Parts: sequence; structure tokens; C-alpha cells
Amino acid sequence: MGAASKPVRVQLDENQTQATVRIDGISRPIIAPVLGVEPANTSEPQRIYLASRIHDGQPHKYTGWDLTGAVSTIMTRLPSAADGDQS
Amino acid sequence: MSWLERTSQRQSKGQRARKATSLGDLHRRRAETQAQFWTPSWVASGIWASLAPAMQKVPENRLIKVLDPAVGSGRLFTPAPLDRCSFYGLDIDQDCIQALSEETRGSEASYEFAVGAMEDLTARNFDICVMNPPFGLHLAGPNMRPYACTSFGPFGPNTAATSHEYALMLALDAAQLVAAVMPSSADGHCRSEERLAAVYRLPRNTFKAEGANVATSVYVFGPPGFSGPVEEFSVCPGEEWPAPAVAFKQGAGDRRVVFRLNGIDFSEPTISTPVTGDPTVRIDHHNRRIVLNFHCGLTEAKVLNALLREDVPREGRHRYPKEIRYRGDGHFYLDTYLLQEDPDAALNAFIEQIRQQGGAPAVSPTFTGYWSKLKKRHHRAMEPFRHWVKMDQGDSLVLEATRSTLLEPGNPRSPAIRRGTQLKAVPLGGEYIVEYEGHTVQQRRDVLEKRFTFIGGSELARDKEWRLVHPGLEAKFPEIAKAYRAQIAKLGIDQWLWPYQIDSLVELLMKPCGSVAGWQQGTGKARLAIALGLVSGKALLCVEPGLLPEMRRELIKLQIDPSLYQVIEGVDDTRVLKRLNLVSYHRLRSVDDRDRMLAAGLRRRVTTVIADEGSLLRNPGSLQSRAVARLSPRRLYVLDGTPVANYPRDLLPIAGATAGDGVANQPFSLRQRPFMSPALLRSASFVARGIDEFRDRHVCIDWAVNEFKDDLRTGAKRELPRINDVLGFRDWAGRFVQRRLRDEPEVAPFAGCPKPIYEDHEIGWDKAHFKYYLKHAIEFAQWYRNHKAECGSSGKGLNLVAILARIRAVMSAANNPHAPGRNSLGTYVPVTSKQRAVMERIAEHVAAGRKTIVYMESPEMVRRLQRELQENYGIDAVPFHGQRPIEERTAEMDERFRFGDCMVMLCSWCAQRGLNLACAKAVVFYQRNWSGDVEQQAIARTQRPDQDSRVWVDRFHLAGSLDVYMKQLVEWKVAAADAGLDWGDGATEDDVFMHMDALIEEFCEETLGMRAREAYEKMLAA
Repeated sequence: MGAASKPVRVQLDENQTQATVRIDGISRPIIAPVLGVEPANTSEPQRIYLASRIHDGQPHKYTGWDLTGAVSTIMTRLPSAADGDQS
Repeated sequence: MSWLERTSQRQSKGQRARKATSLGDLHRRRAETQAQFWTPSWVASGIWASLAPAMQKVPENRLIKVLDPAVGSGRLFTPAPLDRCSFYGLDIDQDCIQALSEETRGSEASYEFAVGAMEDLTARNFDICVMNPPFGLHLAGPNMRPYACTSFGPFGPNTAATSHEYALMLALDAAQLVAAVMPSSADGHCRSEERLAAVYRLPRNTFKAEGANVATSVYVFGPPGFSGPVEEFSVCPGEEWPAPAVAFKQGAGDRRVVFRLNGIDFSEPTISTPVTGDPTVRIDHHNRRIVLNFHCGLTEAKVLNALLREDVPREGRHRYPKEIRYRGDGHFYLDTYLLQEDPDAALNAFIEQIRQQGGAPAVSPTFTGYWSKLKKRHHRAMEPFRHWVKMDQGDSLVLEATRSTLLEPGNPRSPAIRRGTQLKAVPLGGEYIVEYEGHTVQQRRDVLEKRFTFIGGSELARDKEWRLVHPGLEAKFPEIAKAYRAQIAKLGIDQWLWPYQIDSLVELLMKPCGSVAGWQQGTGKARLAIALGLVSGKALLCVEPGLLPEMRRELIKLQIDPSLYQVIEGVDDTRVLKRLNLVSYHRLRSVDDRDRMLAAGLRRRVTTVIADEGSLLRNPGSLQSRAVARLSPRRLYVLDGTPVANYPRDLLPIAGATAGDGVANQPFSLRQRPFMSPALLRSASFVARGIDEFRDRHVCIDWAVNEFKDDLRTGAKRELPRINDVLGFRDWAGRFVQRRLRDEPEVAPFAGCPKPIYEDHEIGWDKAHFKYYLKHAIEFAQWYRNHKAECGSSGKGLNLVAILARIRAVMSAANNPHAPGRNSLGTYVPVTSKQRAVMERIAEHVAAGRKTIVYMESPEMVRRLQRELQENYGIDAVPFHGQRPIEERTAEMDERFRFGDCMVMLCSWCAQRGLNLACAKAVVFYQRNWSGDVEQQAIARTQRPDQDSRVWVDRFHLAGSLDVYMKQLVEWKVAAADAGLDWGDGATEDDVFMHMDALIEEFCEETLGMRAREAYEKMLAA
């Protein structure tokens, strides 16, 4: 059985201090404090560092944003992420 | 199409899996289905109908939180009122959760679906739990909650359960109302819950369409505290389900739901450091762990996530140490850096990693100093003690195959060897490297002896010479040794220690941690203890209560200034401590009126603790061990002539107490710490607990229950007294066990004494005694067979405690029939053949002018032999046993036996340690002991430097009794300890070890067979 695909969407507030994350399978959004945002450049994709861990460590294949990290979640934008997902 | 109807139409694994065609095929089907059978829709609708009245009482503006810990296709959620509920579903089947997620995408419902196992779930504050859990699966996991249905599993206490029972307990813990589809076999389990409100019996064919033929019912439980009559209903498709009289508790539903897998809580921040932009990462330490302090939350997230990487994989049944959670956890153990080829380079690479993540590492001066000190200490800790061993002479031996075999049995690639073929074997201290046709194997002597003979007979193979295998610490660090020698000379200790004792003392002091002084008996441990205490500054010397007078006598003999030492008799003596403080273990563990141990008052007040006869620390749970651990000294020295008291694994707790627990120089751990290895720095994936690694490497077990695997002490097992990887064991033990033997070249001129002469006596039975014994033996044999059959039919293991208690009665019938204990069938008063033989032997020794010590199990036997010797042989004997006060028995022993004219001392095993009885020239074992070290220690009472004769050691066995098994067991235990510590070859008289159950089986065969043929007639005739 291959890893299931799980869409992830995120919206940041104006000050980029709070992220509203929507993960497939959970109806309510997950609100997490943001520690920092790294903008995309030629070699690195956009990254959002959260203060919480919002991924479960199961072998999911995410679409939109990849969720990694041991103690807290690092969201890394995947090439297919819709432009309007994050402001 | 309504909510979740599409997923509800998915086929279950039960429907998809091929039907079982035979009984044997059931296992295949069970593995394929994973007990996944969907609940029929009419049952799901019935459950919600039964809960509807209770739900109607909930205010409409509040969502009812519903849990299903085995959600599957969501069948049980389908009939629920969508606008009134918030759904939480968990399932191990990723496809199911994917399908549910896809179907619910964009829906108005409130839900959360997760992939995971219910054994990893923490769930609380739900209103309702509906479930059809998998039936009868064996669950095991480290995150399980302790319930009445959980048992000792592969991950420790409360880590195993049957799936449906665990699911029910989880649901009752998580929700107010529970509706569970359960197998009828769990009826008793469900009815034992007071909260049970109603039972809906389902038709037998309810799950037939799913491919399962099982009788089931739906059990509905009320909220906590509910207690009412259980309503019973039989329901069929199309019928209405009556509602039970249950209701939600007011206010209970307002609490926040907890729905966590593996302890991960999405709603709580894991990093609370504010974002400041200061990249400083301060590197410090707490004991032997690296501690990082951050000034900015973003830096913390970047650095910690980069170092720790991700969770360790949790597949299978691998048991992780409690401290391990992430792949990068090894970065934080300083010990794993010490084990790298270049520790400084490895540590710098770690610091560089912090820098790469944008951190500015600032190493604290405390850390720098500690790291520098740790490296130096590590070099000394890893260096083995000076060690002389007796090894085979010559470079190689010749083996001849006694039968056709493979060079390495079990490996089909190894060359075949014909019977009679001769091979070359290179001895390697107990193990041999055998080469044939370009292939080499390394095997123990006892393993080789099963298939080969050593050419030239065992004499050649056992012709040995002393070799220095490790030159010791002084050769490696002469400057440090010089400083300690100067200190010893300044205190005048060198005036009363022999040269080898001074050398050994210096080595012990050079070790950065405590050690085991495993000096053979009669080599001067008492003096070593005093010397260690005086050098250390402020020391506590713990001795067994019976040996306090011996130690006092030694202090007086050495003319130690009385102002330097004291004996602690109570709390008052602990107010002001002297340089050397003597205390008995009994006193140390005694408690005052406030239930406070004496040891607690001495905590961290002495730098050094010396534990005389310290192998008693092998049981970390005993009061003595706990009292010594409570002292928490900088260094703990264990002094014992037989540090491997029983099985080789007994050395592990002592290693942990002296050399450190799970550290670089002692990588195994008794607690939950990881096995310390260089690989831990790369990844903590599948790192083992220290104790598991020790068991896998060095302990020989056929099988063991989880309790035994957990701590290597409790629970049943079938263990061979042997050491696996004996070379690795020696390397490990050589770092913290200083072994000194009486006969080694540096010790023999001072402490050597002639070797004892061993003689075993097999004694025949008196008819009447045999009749009495047979009655017990047959009773035991029949009981054992019935017990075994009962256990076999009920699928349970044998009750070893009951077996040992009853076998004790058989042993008592043989050796102590005049005063039998519990489980005995009457008494046998006449003097037995064994007792007569022992008394005759004693009389022979006395006639030859040899003072004799006789060992036996019970004080009753001591009294009987004393009386019989006096009446029949006119021989006076001193009784020494545990039923007499220590002062009284020691005084009489000194006055009449040690320094007097009495020729015989009769004692129980309490006299096997510490006493210095060179006056005795003969030791008689009326009966055997289960432990090798007890017998060795008993003989060693006579093996002192001032012993001038060869001591006779007589051991008496009743023909065909359990004495024979005890003899074998003791031989194997002694050989195993010898192989591990003294580089012996581990060879014993018997090639094949006979386990207790095999021996009992054979014993029963013989006993019952004998009755059938001749014994029964003999009994009648007798």
C-alpha cells in the first residue's frame, strides 16, 4: 500500500505570527503560533516554522505543504501548492 | 447520498480475504483480515436509536463529541445526526482513513480522522463512544494505558492486552456513554463493569455477510458512577431498539476533547521561547548529557529539528529506552562522543551543525572543563586492570571429529568434516579458533567437545601456564600511580600491605569510578577495605552483621589509631563521621520512628563506600542494595571473592552500581537507558535498552517471559549457566573487575596455600528411609504430571513457585527427614545412611587430627548431628547457625573451635562468608547448595594465607536424588563464572546441561517406573 496523499493548506495572519492550517481529515483548522517565515529563493522553497507540532509522524504524502520536524512542525511549500493558500 | 455512505459501501478485509479452507488456514485469514468486519447498517442505526433519548437532553447549541477508536469505513457514524455531533475516528487502516478524508472534504460536518493504533491513543472528555473493535487480537505497545485487562507485555508492565477488552476499557475511560459491539465470549468482562446499562443480543448471523461466524451483542454503558439494573433485549433487523435509562452527566461535556496519538498534542506549543533574533545557543551539560539553552524560539526550532531530525521508527516490537524518542537523541549523550575515534572532532561536528542552522554556539567554560576531565577519566576507565590468567600452553591444539559434521553447524556453506578428520585449533582463553579448508569458526570448548575430541587427551588441553594478559593501569599511567603511591606511603599503609596488595590498591584508586575488587578468598580483602577507607578521606565500610567482629579484630591487629575509625550502631554515631566508619548492612537499612533509613542520613556525606561481600548488590531491589544506593557516594567499591554469585548476569547490577550505568566504559544499563555505542551518534533508530543488549549478547536463555526480559531477575525462564560471547564479556568485566587469584605469580608467595582435595561420596539408601522418600517422590511425581497436564490443557505455563515448594519437600525427605517442613508427609526419625556416612567421615578426620567444618541447610540438622556425634562417637561439636545470636555463636566458635580444642564445627550456610578459619583442615558438605558461590565461599574459609595443609573437601550425594542435579548445576555455574572472570575454558564434566524441567521429567520417569517394577514391592517388603 502506498502512502496516502493528504492536502495541506495554510493561511498566515497579517503579522505572520499565527498560522491557520487545514489538513485533510480534520474539519476544524489548527491554529499554531509562527516562529518565523523564510521566503522562497532560487535554491530553497518557502518555509514556515511553527511553535507547535501539528503532524503525527505517520508516513503521509502531503500535497501543498510538507510537514516535517521532530519537536515542532516545519512547513515546506511544495511545488504544487496553490498560490492563494497562503497570504 | 448522505454522510459517509460512499465509504460505508467499501468492502471490509473480512469480505475481501479468501475463506479459510482448513484449520491451519485460519491463521492466514486472520492475518489478512486483521479482524476488520464492518458493522451491519441496521445495527449501527439501532445503536443510535438507543442513544437518541439521551442525546435529546443535550442543549442544541453544543456539539456531541463522538469517538470511534476503530472507525473503519465509518459505518457507525453514518446514522448519527450530522448537525449535532463532532466525530473523531481512528483506524490502523490507512486506506480507510484516506477514503473518509476524501469523502468528508468540504463537508459541513465537524470531524477528525487519524491513522493510528488504538494502543497509541489517548482519548478523554468524549460524550459518546461507538465502536466495533477488532476481536481477539493481541495488542502490544509502549503507549498503552494501564487497565485491569492489560498485562506484562514486550514493552514492560501493562503493555499487552486483548484488542476488544482494551478497546472497551479505553472507551469507558474516554466517554460518558459507550455502545460497543462485543463478542459474546466477552460477556463476563462487560458485565463486570458497573456502568453496564443494557445488552442487545444480536442474531448469530449478524456478521455472516462479512465472512465471520461469531455470536455478538451490543453493550451500552452509562456515565461514570452509573449503577442500575441491566436491561436485556434481543434484536433483529427491522426491529426498533428500546432505549436504556442512561443520560449524560451535566457539565461533563464542556471539557476540551483530548484525542492524541503517541502523545502528540496539536494544540499545545512545544517551543515557548520568544522570537528575539538572538542566535546564541549556549552549550552546557547536566551530568553526562549536553544541554542547549536558546535565546530565540526560531533558532531553537531550527537547531533542535535539525539535530533531532524525526521520530524513531516504531514498527515491530522493538523496545526503545524510555529516553529515546527521536533519531538524533544520541547527539545529547557525551558518552557517545567519548566512544568515537576522535571525540573532539565529533563534538566539533555537532557544534558546527548548530552553526549551520543559524545558531551562534557559545560553549560554557563549565562544559569545556567537564569535557576535558571526562576524556581523561574515560581513558582510565576503559583501561583493563592488571590481570593474570592461566591459559593453555602452546599455540595450537589438534581436534579429531567424533562424527561427520559441518565446521559450523547450521551454516550450509561451511565445509563438511568426515569422522576422524583432524583439525587445528588455536586456544583463545576458553574459546578456540578452528580452521579447515580456508574457513574459520570461533567456538567455546564445551560446544566443540560435543563433536570433537582434543587429541592427546584432556591433559594436553588442560596443561596451563600463567600469563599476564593485561599489564594494568600503572603501566599506562605511571605518573598518576606515583602520586597515589606517595599518598599511601605518607599514611603508613604500605607498612601492613603486601606488594601485590599495594599495586592493586593503587590501581583501584586510579580508576575514576568505583570498581569490583574480586580478589579470591584469602588474598587480603579485609586489609584492602581498611586501606581504601583510610586513603579515601571519609569512607563507609559496609559489612555483613556477622563479620563486624572480624573486621574489628583486623583493625586492632593492624594497630590502626582508634581515633580514625568507629562502628556505627545507631543514628547518634552518624552525627560526626570519622575517617573510616564501619556499619553493618542490617544497621544501614534499619529505619527510625519516622520510617527513615539510616542510610538516608548518611547520603552524600562520605566520598567512598566499600561494600564488603558486595555481590549481595546483585539484587537492586533488596533493602541492602537500596540502602547502599541511597548513600550516593562518589565511588563505590565492591569487595567479593565471587563477584559472579550465581549466574554471569549477576555482574550487571554490580557494574551499574560501581562503574556507571549506560556510560561509555560500562555501556549496559539496568534502568531504561540506551545501550551506549558509537552508532548512537549517527542514529537512535532501533537502539536497544542497555539491559536488552546485555541479554542478547551474554545471557544464554532458551525462553523467558517478558518479566524476566525486563529486568533479568523476576519471572520464569529457561536459562543455561553459560556466557555468550565470552570474549566480549571478559573485555567488559576486565574494565571494572580487579581479579587477583591466590595462585597467580605475584600473589602466591604471600597468600598461596595448597589446593584442596575433592572427594564425592555416593551413598546408598536405607530401605525404610527409601520407602519414606519414595512416598514423597511419587506424590511429587504424580502432582507434577497432573499439574503439567492441567497447564497444558489450559494453555498456561508451569507454576515454578509451586514446583520449587513441593520439590523442597522431596529434598527434605532425603536430607532432613526428621524435621520436614510444609508439604511433607510425616516424619522419619531414624538416622539415615547419609547421616551415618557423614558422621563416619567426620570421625575419620577427627582421628587424623583434622579440624572439620560441616555445612548443611537447616539448624535442625545441625542440632541432630551434634547430638548424634556426641552420643555415638563421643565427638564434641560447635553449633553455628542462624537461630543463634551473632555475638553468642561467634564467641563460642572463637573460643572452642578457632582457638580451642573442639575439632568439629557444624554450621548452616550462614557461616559461608567472611570467616577466617585456617585452623580447619577438612570441609564436609552434608548437602549441596544451589549456588556455586556459596560452596566456593564455604571452602574458602579454610583457604587462607596461613593454611599449611591440603584441605579435604567431601561432598555427599544420595544415589539418584536431586543432589545429583544440584551438583551439575553448581559445576556449570562455577565454570561459567570462571570463563568470564578467570578466562577458564568453561568445560564441565557433563557435555549437555540438563534443565530443571528435563531433570524433573527424568526423575518422575524413574520414580514411577521404579514403583511399577521393583520399588513398590521393596516398599511393601521393607
